[in-house]
Amino acid sequence: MTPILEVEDLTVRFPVGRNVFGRPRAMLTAVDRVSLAVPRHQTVGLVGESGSGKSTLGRAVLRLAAAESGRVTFDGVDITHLGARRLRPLRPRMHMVFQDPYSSLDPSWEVEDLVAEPLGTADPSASRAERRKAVVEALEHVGLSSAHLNRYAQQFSGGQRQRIAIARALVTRPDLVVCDEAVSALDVSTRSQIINLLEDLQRDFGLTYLFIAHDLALVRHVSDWIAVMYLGSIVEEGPAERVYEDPAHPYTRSLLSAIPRLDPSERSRERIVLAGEIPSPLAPPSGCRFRTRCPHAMEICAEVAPPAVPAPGGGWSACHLNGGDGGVGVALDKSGTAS
Amino acid sequence: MKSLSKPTASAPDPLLEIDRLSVDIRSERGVVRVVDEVSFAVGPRETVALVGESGSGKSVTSMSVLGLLPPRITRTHGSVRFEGRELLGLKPGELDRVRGDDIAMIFQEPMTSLNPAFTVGEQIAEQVRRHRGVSRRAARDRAVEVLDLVGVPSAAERLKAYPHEFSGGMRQRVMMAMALSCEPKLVIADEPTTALDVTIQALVLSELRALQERFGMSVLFITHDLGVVAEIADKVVVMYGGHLVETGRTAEVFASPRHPYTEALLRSVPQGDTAGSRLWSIPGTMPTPEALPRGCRFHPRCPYAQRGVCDTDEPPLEPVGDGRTSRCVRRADLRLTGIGADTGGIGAREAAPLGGPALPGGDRT
Amino acid sequence: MSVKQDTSITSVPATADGAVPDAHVRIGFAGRFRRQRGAVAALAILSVITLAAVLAPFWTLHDPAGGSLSDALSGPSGGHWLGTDDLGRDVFTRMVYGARLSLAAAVIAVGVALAIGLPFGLLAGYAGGRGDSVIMRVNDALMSFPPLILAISIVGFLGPSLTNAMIAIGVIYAPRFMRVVRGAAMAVREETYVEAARMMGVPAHRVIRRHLLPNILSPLLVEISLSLGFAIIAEASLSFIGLGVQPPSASLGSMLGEAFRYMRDAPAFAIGPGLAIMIIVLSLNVLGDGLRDSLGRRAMR
Repeated sequence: MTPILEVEDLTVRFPVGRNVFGRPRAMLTAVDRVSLAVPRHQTVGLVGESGSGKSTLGRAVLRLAAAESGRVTFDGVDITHLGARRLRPLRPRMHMVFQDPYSSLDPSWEVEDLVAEPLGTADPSASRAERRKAVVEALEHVGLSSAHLNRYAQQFSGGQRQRIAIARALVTRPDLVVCDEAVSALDVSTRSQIINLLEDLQRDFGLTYLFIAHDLALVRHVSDWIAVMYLGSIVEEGPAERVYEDPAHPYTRSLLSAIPRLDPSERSRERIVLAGEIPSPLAPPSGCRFRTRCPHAMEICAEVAPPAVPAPGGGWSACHLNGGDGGVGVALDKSGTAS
Repeated sequence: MKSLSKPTASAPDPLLEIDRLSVDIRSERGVVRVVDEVSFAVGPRETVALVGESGSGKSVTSMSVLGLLPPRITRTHGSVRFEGRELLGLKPGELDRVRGDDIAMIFQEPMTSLNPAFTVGEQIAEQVRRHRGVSRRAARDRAVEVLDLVGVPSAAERLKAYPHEFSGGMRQRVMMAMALSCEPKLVIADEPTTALDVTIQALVLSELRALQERFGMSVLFITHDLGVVAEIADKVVVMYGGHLVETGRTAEVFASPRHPYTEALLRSVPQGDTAGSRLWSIPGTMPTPEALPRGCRFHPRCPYAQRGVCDTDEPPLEPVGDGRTSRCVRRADLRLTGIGADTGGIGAREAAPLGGPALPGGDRT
Repeated sequence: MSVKQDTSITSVPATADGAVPDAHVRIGFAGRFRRQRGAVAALAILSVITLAAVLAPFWTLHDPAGGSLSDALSGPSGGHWLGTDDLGRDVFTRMVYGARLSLAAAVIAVGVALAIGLPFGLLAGYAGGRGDSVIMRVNDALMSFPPLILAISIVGFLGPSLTNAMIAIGVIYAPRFMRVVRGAAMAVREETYVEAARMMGVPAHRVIRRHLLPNILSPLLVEISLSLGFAIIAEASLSFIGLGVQPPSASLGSMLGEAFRYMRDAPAFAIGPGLAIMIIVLSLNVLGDGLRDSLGRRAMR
């Protein structure tokens, strides 16, 4: 079965700053030649620091950010340059749950209209009654009810709002849902409610998730496959368990070691502390982008971008330490190993 | 009476002592009590974490310590003593001297507490001059010194930079430098790492720990992240619905919580390989201060709640040994699960399915 | 015996924990506005004035255009509360009709400004980029003219009449509206719900109409109430110098202009319209400030 979503060699660039005439001063490469496959009914986790381009990738997948080059294929259809009209029939099949449940719901709308909004493009001819039926059904799936139809989002707590946002994503019965930090803004106890809900819905409706988050412990919990992004590129990919138990890239290792442990007795554990901060994507380092912070940086790292090398246990990583002197990795089909 | 409220009996002379602190806020709907009789102490060289979810009252508590609440709409009761001196009711001028001199504060979003119109160097130096009364030159040198200390590279040059020229993590370190410039005895840090990436958070936390060891200061750390608590705090104070529900030494509380809310918080954090299992979650939401439930404030969400026991009277915060306190009347009947040191985190053990957290020993009433 | 509580918690908690009680949010705008005493008073004054002006034919005792020269320039009396003008017409009655004309003129002028400023402002704010730059540069150029000079030249070009004066005022205020609307629209555009709508494939015109417009209403309302005040002054200024309303009709401004000539003989003649203008404009400004304070964007959350 083909993956529901395939990203090939995708590059997304943004103009930065504008002069008086509205011309951009510089171009920022947010996503740089990224390939990723998301198999049906699975969850692919996308992790990285802020500025890694993970959110931009998620937005590019839904055509909220324009691709400069490369390809986004949804269920076999190349949607990279599809016009708004041709894209519209596909819209109901993909959706997104955003990070901030406060700003993702229009405060001037009632819940019924909020949840029904995607139906406007999916099925414009539907009657008001049909629409309401679909909305109530979606609300019930997320633990709300018809009693909430005529309320405003501001009358709900953060967790409840995220439920409304999920109901909105669900109402058109999509195939793919991109969760962009969907639980990061929630309290600990609410967060697990929402995660459990997302997992239930995945099982019940055969959803596919692209789960973007910076909380690595959570990503591990929900994901089948994980991709680690750094400064616009994926540096490592693999089955969730393998990536966590046996990380192949130094960046993944340092990310994992930075997660605070719940056990106070682990306080004295050995940590890989990264020097400095993520460099500006306006001027990424030559060669390996991670080299400026990498504890193992060598001479070659500044000169040659490391190729993707298959990792034992599944997936691949792009680091000179893992061998692969150019030939192996380039030939490797990065996304092919995903399914 | 008072020993009851202190997390440890052994602490000799606490640096900061909060005693039955209550905060009332006047709103359009009347007066609501958002912090209710909170008592705890921070000893010298100690790090105490004040933990709670949004709406628990933890931030209001920390702000009232420094008199940062708007006096027009808030009323504070109880006492906050710093080195034996009462802080509540101090005149603004006197309070200013304590703030920055002996107590410094670090906020979640440093941009709101740094002045965008002045360079970082000017702001730190100004702080030093105001509180130490040293020469301009000495203040500048001190600024370089503290920036260097918190790990800002090429500190002397960065003095001339404005706050917006720093990244989030660097700004947080500038805030730390500013807080440390007068060598305070107590630092109050309100979610200082929440907005940062894990890698930067790890750096800032280890920096804070190193500085604390070097200067012997105390830290009151306000956070919702139990992982951070485990990394940094000697003692933990857990708040729910405006009051304390559990206090004690971090290692002990995490290993064997004595309140179901603490257990729930600990267990909702996925640790290790939990794939395929359900996350422990607390149903419902935190009650608002206007609509607190009768009896135990946590009972409507508590899996162990018993009718006739938990929904009648509000349980008191009682000592449970080892300088710990808990506000659960059923604590003796329950065997709550914490972090098993031998099993490497709760992830390793079977995460109990949400359907049935077992009531140990059957139903005893 | 006590009952063990049902611990079978599904992933989806019962809706009982549901929404915060209605009162929590519904207090919203009305509650905050009510506490702005000045603004409430201003609203009351404006309502009374508007009602009195609109219903003028039904309650005033005199004909605004008729009078006898024998009564000219008499002081205040029981029959003529504010006295009479140089043609013997009742000043109070004329003032009520004048207020009617001034208010109508202001409303229409602001309407014209809104009709130009709102669509362009929304478009510039939502589209951004090049279109925004072009619209805003034109805007800046318009705004750099001294408003009164611009109005005088427009009226001078079109010929003096109330309609032309209103168009002139509308054109002058359009850039101000455009600026306010664009600023608000740009802020709303950054909200995630707008991005969500785009993601759902909602066409741009619908996003603008259904998301942008309702959410910029508060700053717009504030601007409207402040601009009404400015428009009344502008109309008064134009009419004062004879470029606005033409005799025998009168607006508050033209009355002030006429009264100016008899300042020494009949001061009451000038005080009436002057005071009326002041009260209306002051009320509109206080109302605008009150609206601003109770409609704060963040406060709506």
